[in-house]
Amino acid sequence: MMKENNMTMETSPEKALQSVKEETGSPDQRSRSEKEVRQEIRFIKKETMTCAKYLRRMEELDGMPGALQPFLDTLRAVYVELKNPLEKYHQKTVGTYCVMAPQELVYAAGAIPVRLCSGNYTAFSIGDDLYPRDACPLVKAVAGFQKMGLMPVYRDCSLMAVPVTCDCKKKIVEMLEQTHDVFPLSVPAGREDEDIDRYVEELYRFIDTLEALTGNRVTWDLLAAGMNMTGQAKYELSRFLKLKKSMPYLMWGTHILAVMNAAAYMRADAWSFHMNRLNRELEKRIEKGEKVTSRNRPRIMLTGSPIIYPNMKIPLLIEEMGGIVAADETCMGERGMSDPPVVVDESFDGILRALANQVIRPCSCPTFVNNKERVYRILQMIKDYQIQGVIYHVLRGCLVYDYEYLFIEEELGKRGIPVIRMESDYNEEDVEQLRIRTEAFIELIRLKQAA
Amino acid sequence: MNKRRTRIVTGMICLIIVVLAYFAERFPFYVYEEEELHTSLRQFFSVEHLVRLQPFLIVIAMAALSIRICIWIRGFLLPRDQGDRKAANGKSVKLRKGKRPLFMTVRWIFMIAFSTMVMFGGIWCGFILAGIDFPVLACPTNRDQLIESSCYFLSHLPVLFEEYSPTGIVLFFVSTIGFALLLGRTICGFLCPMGLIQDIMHVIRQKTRTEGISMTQSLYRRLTSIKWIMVLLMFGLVFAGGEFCSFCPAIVTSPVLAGMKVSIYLSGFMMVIVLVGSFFKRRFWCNICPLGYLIGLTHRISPFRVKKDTISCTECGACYEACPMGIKMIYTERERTDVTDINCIMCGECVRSCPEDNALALAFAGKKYYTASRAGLMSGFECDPDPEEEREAE
Amino acid sequence: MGYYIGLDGGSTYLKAALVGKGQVMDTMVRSTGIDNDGTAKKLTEDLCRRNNLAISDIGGIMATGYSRKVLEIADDDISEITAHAYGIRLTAPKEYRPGMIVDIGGQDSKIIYLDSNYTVKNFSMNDKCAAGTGKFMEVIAQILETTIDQVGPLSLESTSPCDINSTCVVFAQSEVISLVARKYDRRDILCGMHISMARRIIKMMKKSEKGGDILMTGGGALNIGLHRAFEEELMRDVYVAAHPQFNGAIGAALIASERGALR
Repeated sequence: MMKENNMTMETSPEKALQSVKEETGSPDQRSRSEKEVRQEIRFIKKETMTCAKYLRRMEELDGMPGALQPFLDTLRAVYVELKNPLEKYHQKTVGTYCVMAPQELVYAAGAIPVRLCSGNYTAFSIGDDLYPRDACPLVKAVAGFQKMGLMPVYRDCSLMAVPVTCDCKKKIVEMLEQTHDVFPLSVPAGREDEDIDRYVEELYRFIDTLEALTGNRVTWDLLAAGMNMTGQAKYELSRFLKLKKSMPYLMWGTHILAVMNAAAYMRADAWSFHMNRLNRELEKRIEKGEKVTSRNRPRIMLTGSPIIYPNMKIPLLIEEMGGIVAADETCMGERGMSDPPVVVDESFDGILRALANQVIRPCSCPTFVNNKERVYRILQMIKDYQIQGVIYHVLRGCLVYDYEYLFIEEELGKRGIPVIRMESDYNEEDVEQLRIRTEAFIELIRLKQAA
Repeated sequence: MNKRRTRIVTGMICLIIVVLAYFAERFPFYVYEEEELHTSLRQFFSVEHLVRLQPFLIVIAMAALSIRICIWIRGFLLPRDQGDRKAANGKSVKLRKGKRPLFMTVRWIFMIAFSTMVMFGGIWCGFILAGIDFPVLACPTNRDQLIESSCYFLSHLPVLFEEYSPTGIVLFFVSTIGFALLLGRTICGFLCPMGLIQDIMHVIRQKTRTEGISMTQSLYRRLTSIKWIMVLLMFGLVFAGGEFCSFCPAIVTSPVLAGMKVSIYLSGFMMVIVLVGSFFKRRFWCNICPLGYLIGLTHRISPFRVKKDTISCTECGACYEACPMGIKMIYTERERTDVTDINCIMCGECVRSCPEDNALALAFAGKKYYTASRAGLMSGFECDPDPEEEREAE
Repeated sequence: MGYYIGLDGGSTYLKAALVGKGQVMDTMVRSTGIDNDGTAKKLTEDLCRRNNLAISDIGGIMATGYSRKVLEIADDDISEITAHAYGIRLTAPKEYRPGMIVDIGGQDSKIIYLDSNYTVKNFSMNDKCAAGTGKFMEVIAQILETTIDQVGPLSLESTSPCDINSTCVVFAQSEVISLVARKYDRRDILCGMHISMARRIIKMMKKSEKGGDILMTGGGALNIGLHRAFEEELMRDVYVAAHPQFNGAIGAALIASERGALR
């Protein structure tokens, strides 16, 4: 406990103060009362402290590949040092709130997309007062950051693109409109041909908005360049997943989630560059037969609501209690980027159709009507990663995921794969309850293994 | 309301087709005073041959013009005009895709080889293999010498029954059905010259990056009803006193390219429509081809199959987008591992575009010869980052 | 040697069970208090004394329950899920075919699914909420001016049970108070409460797990009214373990004896 405090004391508060001072010093900022500043300092102190704590817990896990550091550094820059890591590119940034806003288009227009779904506890506690009790914590956390206006990644966005998926995302639009330009991107609820057509039209509107923002005409070449950029990232990810399939204990699941979370705040080319390094390092590890753990830990799959840094308590708990997160099926994790767009028609319209198709059809987000394909995806992952148990994460208030639990539990139950539902919120008060469940679950798999 | 309107439109189109087909000979496209249904190898290398290609060249010119006009009109109709989106600004970029799989290369070689064979094979082999009936290829090359296509006799059943002895008729049906059973619609994907021409039109559209027509299931359903009319015409026209060959667009391909002097009636206009259609919609004709439909009926027993791993499929629909025949079942199917559809032409585009390892495969008699893989699909990205990029990322 | 003690540090009570020669010798319970470890030590000593055993005669002590990690007197610990699954080997009635255990504890309730060899297949637990637990029963008993022991028998006399719909202890409490104010018979209220508790727990049951019988353990199983409500809601027989309250402790002791001498 002492160590924890010391560590954070060294880094955060002075930087926090400095950053707030910078802001109040700059002329274009609104003037604040002393009390307001005090509240902001308190917010930053708390925010940086929790974020630094989770980063440290991740760094303390043994067997961290050296190539992982840039990803963790990105997370640190955003949440602990309160910097905008995308500033160096001198391009406009577009905040997106879901993988269903195609990043390719943003790159094509000459801007950088940044995924702003948040897992921040401190911001959540502020958003909690603004939004209805049963709203999902992710949206509350976003609201918290929005209210405080202190996070550079949020503040610097020139446009917010909000895919209209679940109820909470719908309502986020009005809130964001108070401070930013917002583009609500309607996502169809079905996956029929007509839905794809409608979504393509929506993408054209999105392109128009982006063009107005950056002043660039999105031509075929720019779109192709955007496709290549994210395509490279998806390629590196598929390479990584292949490595992981070949050896289940290659890396801690927590680290993998950190890598995937860092993708939200990195330009795709930078991310794929570092991913390439990581892949090369992991290939060497496989050659040498190095694993992160020598024991036969129960391999657990995490699915359900997204796990967003710094809300890493569940994966950390699983690995602390003797399991390993061998795969995740969450939209902030591997699922969000694992499906490549397949261009079968090379016209401008054809590429957009390929994008629309990739966003709508394979996506196993429960906001879609009829999402049975998710079970098959999970079953395939269970086979690929030799999963022994599934932990179904439900964020409190995330109704759509909770609905699907029943069906998935039944399907997996028929096949003899243990599943457990874990409800959590963006705070640390429920850690003990989660611990009891995790521990019992891992013990159950162990006993099964022994039998 | 909208649905009803499309139904009415489809009905009208069907009616027009029937009427046009019946009066096909009233629409001369390119008429020779004296038809000459002989070709020879010697003639093939002569200037005369080029002259005989004239109808085909006219069709191509008309098609090219029609396509331009269509694009021009669409520019007015569509609120989002993409004309200027095609322009390159600065450096031109290549869209990274998977490398061409071996299967596709083989398919193109087959298509080109067989189209050549269907057109000129009669001339080359005819002297050696005279007297052998070689059915199920698009059209006759040389009516009185050796190749008698099933297509001709299927559309002229009375001729078949008049000219042949019962054994001949039985042999005709046995050989036709035998071929269909063995190959199924693999014929369409690999051997048919009409298929080759349509695929070339598709490639041209890809190279010019022109926007196509995005198909939906309701549109495909309209095409199906047109296909039924075509089947009906193919068998029935001869009984009603019509001539299907004057209506069928295929007549412009093999006989004309082989250098025969065949008078062309409505077929020429039909071929223009086929070329324009297949430019905007890949394998447009295959969707309404009556012969293809008949061959497809044997797909339940043909040894060529499309196999699916129902669990690894993510229902991403890439196969459906790629499918020139609009077979939706291939990605929605979750029960059966055999997804061979009556319309499938075995072109392998679905397997090529499938991003999941082993999710789709083509198989012959249970042995898989072309399997989907993520690595293959994304092989275009296989490279180490170039040093400049590396520095930038640092 | 040959005697083993299981300690079950629950949220309200600390339970201890002495197991030897393949059967339950003795059980003892004490309220947890603030000093978990101290209570556990005293409880173990008392239990030994009552059975004329010295601490050295004990082959091993196994802890389970919420506070299992802090009980220093124990040699090892095991999760409640496993402990309950073991415990029923001694406490389940003979005709019980292993399938499902419904454990109604002080502050949580869980369902454990077993295969025919008593090994755990899966489990589900209620979330951060005390509805459907012993605590809930206690609160309601208090409002209705009765004791927890009387809750069961009283509810059996009910003729027309009330509807209680709230899924939250606090709301259910106010709902009960309003029912009292409207002069409903407390026996009907209690019966209604049991039905609503049973429903809540049945909702937790996984649809895919169907085989075997249902066994109730935990303090809640002592409540005959709740037992009856379960049977009525499920429309099938529900068994009750022999020492329901001590099932976890018995299981822990049994595990200790299986693992042999731990010290």
